[in-house]
Amino acid sequence: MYKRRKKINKKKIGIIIFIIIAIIFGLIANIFNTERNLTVFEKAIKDSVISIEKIIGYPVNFISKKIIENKDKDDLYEKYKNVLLENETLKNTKNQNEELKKQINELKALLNINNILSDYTYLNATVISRDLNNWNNTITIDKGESSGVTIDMPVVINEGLIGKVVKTSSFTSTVRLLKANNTNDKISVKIKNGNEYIYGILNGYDDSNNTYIIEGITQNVDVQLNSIVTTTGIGDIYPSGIVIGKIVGVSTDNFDLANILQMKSDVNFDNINYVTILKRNITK
Amino acid sequence: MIIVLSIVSFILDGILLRYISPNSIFLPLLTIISLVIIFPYFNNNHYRYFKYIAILGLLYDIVYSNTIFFNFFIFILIGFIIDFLFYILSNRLSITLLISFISIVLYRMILYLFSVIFNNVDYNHIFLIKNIYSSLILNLLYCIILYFISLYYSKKHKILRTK
Repeated sequence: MYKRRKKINKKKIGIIIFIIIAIIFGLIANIFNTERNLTVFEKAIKDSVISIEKIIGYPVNFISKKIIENKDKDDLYEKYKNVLLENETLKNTKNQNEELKKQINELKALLNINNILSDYTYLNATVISRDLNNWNNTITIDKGESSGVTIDMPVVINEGLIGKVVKTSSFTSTVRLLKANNTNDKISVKIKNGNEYIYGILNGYDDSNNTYIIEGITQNVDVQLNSIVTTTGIGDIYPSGIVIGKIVGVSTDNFDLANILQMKSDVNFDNINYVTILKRNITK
Repeated sequence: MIIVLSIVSFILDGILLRYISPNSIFLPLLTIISLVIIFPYFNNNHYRYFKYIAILGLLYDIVYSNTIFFNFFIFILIGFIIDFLFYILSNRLSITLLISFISIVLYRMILYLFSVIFNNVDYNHIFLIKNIYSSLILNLLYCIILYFISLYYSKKHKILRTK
């Protein structure tokens, strides 16, 4: 009788330990979930500490800006000449853009369309902090809910797309970089192959080669190297036409049925200081 | 003194992160160093020390890593190790450096292990080793500076610290 009770107790203890381990694992998984929304308490603390940090870091920021300014002054005349040349072409592009915008608006009115895939407005922001553990690949920027930033907004720099907003507080937002290799970050992309577009899915980052992987392309398509990869605008997050990178390699999958493309981005993820958040215009 | 040291280290962590690239060999973990430096000033008041580092860990979670209660527990664990090592070893610069070294290595390893298990990160021991040695140079240098500042200050103001 006593032995039996002891056996039952051992079983019970085993089950309890198993449940406790499962709960702990569940909690840790939740802690590491980057999609988790911040609580009001977390938002308030984060905003206040980052504001204090901004004030204390102001002199450092000022000095580093002055150093960069002085470095830039060295070849000022060369830069001025280049800017003048660029300005000439920019004027033409600007006029063309305005004309195209006008035509798009006219067509939208004619066809009774509210939204197009490439409609977005810009919001500039400064990087105020990087992820302490660089395998998470996130950065914190100084624009938050008070500036109209919401979760899932795409973030770009001059060289192309860098990621999307995953967390927001009143005055800051956390951006998960494209190279974070998150399974939720599959992006619909199009590759300009000669005069036509090939559609695929950007599906992760290969750390060993520093390239992105594009899948979902049939084998009978001949993809040219150095083709430009842009977003398609399909889905709610990324507008159409944002540059992501260039094709640097083509291989086939294990069954020789589909092409797997390697893409390289021009973005230097180690040196991002200013970013632009794209707010997609969707009117219902 | 304790509060100033830890808050300065905490804020410096954030400021340095703006200017230091994630691939640099000077990754800051200054708050962890402050845990080692402030320990002798608690004069064996363990309850107060652990309460203090738990709050610091929670703040670190909220502001820098967005992982609530993770650094909270890691800081307490590191606190236990600091407590144990200071109990068996004396409080000298070389020992403080050794404890800081162990704390940094432990912190990086635990965090990487949990990232591999729960955060979809591929295990790569070269990356882990690179991450550990990148965190050592700046932080051990900061440890030496902080050690002498705290020693000077405690002597000047006759603040008691465990020997």
